[in-house]
Amino acid sequence: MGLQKLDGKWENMNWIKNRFRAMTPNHHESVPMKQLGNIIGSGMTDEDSALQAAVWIELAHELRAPTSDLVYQVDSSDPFTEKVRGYEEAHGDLQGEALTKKMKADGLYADDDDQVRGHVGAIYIGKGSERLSKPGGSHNFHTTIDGLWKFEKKPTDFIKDVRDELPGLLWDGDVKRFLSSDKEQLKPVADAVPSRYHDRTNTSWGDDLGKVGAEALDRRKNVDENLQGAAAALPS
Amino acid sequence: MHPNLSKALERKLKHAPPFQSDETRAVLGLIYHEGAGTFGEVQSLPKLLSLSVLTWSDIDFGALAEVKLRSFESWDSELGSLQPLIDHCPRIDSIVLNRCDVTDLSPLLDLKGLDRITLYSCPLDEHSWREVLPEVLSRGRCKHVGNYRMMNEAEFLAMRAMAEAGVKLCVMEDTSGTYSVCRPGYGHPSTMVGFQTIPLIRAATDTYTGPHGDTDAFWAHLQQAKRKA
Repeated sequence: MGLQKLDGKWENMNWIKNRFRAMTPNHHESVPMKQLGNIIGSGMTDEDSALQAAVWIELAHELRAPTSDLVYQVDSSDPFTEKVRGYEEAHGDLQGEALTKKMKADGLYADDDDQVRGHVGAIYIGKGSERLSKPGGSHNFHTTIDGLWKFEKKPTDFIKDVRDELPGLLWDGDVKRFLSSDKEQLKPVADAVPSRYHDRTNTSWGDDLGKVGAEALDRRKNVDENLQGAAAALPS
Repeated sequence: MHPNLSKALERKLKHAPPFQSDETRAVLGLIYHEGAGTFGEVQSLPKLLSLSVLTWSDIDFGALAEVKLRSFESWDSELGSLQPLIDHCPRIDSIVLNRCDVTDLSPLLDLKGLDRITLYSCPLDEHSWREVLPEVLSRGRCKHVGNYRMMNEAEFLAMRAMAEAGVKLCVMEDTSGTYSVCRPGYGHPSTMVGFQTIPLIRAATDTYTGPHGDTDAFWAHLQQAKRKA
């Protein structure tokens, strides 16, 4: 089949896209996969375009982040955050283990916790014997990244633009930002919330919120390093 | 291998030492968490581009002399002067300073390729806040990025008031709109004191009568003021 025949043949484009993505399962590609047909088609017009298309395809292969690394910015308006904060304020005389004990006794548990979310496949939480995925925020993430790509763009500029956006999209793990107050209070809130967070491989993220934040930071750094490494490998 | 580097590699590679050379040769970024002093033999990591330093004291940038670092990130740390970092790593294009004791940003003016800066809650001096930072942000494509807004005037003024008492502490608004005073560095018994408003922090600062520059005494005074509030 000649490449020109791809034009408009969405079933063929989907086949290519699916084959491309299948090379590295459970990964997110920063170069929008829905543009793969466009990249191939645009590359057929002249020699320069062909070279540009080749760079995009190579880059699309390099810029794959494990979906488990995509932990989105914590939604500070989340009702659970407000609930915990209100509880802390209402029981200002309690600290440390006493506060934890009281929270547990009052049923302030993680079942309705939606603070930490991620790409499909990023975060799971145990609930009894069940294992629940905690997706959310993917639409914003994908539309933001997709909106940065254009065929004519210099690939180094695309990577720079993605790196500019990532700090606002992926959570930096800074738990002090939404717990406030003294460090001692990290532990009680943590005990009530995220000790059961784990990733696709069922690996625990730790037994307090500080450890969950540290893991989120590690994962965000992985994504950025992938971009940084790809940019460094491109001809200047 | 220096224990600080060993600990950072263990976090990165997800296993205890020993580390194989093909593993360390591929490392692009490291996170140093809770410690002090040197980064160790980072010159043995030929691809190292990114360094993060969290809750660190007595930082020693000397190890970066032979590293072509492009990103530097620091939270809750005693960095002192940025000049040694910039001298060793002039190609840095991304820098994050979050609750660090940095007062002087002028070394950033030497970073010609700085694309992105994240600045939260650092006790900057007047010149850095009013002149250097706007100049850095007005250059080319440099922009402030991050999960939260950049530090603001009220936070700056609260930190300046504490600086006049000789202490380098950080003031941070949390996501609920209340404020915490944070103490950079590793090994302190407590690192945050929360207040409902910045005026409460200012009031606590104004009533401090202890020795100038005594961070421990000032910190104890803040905690006492918090309890009274």
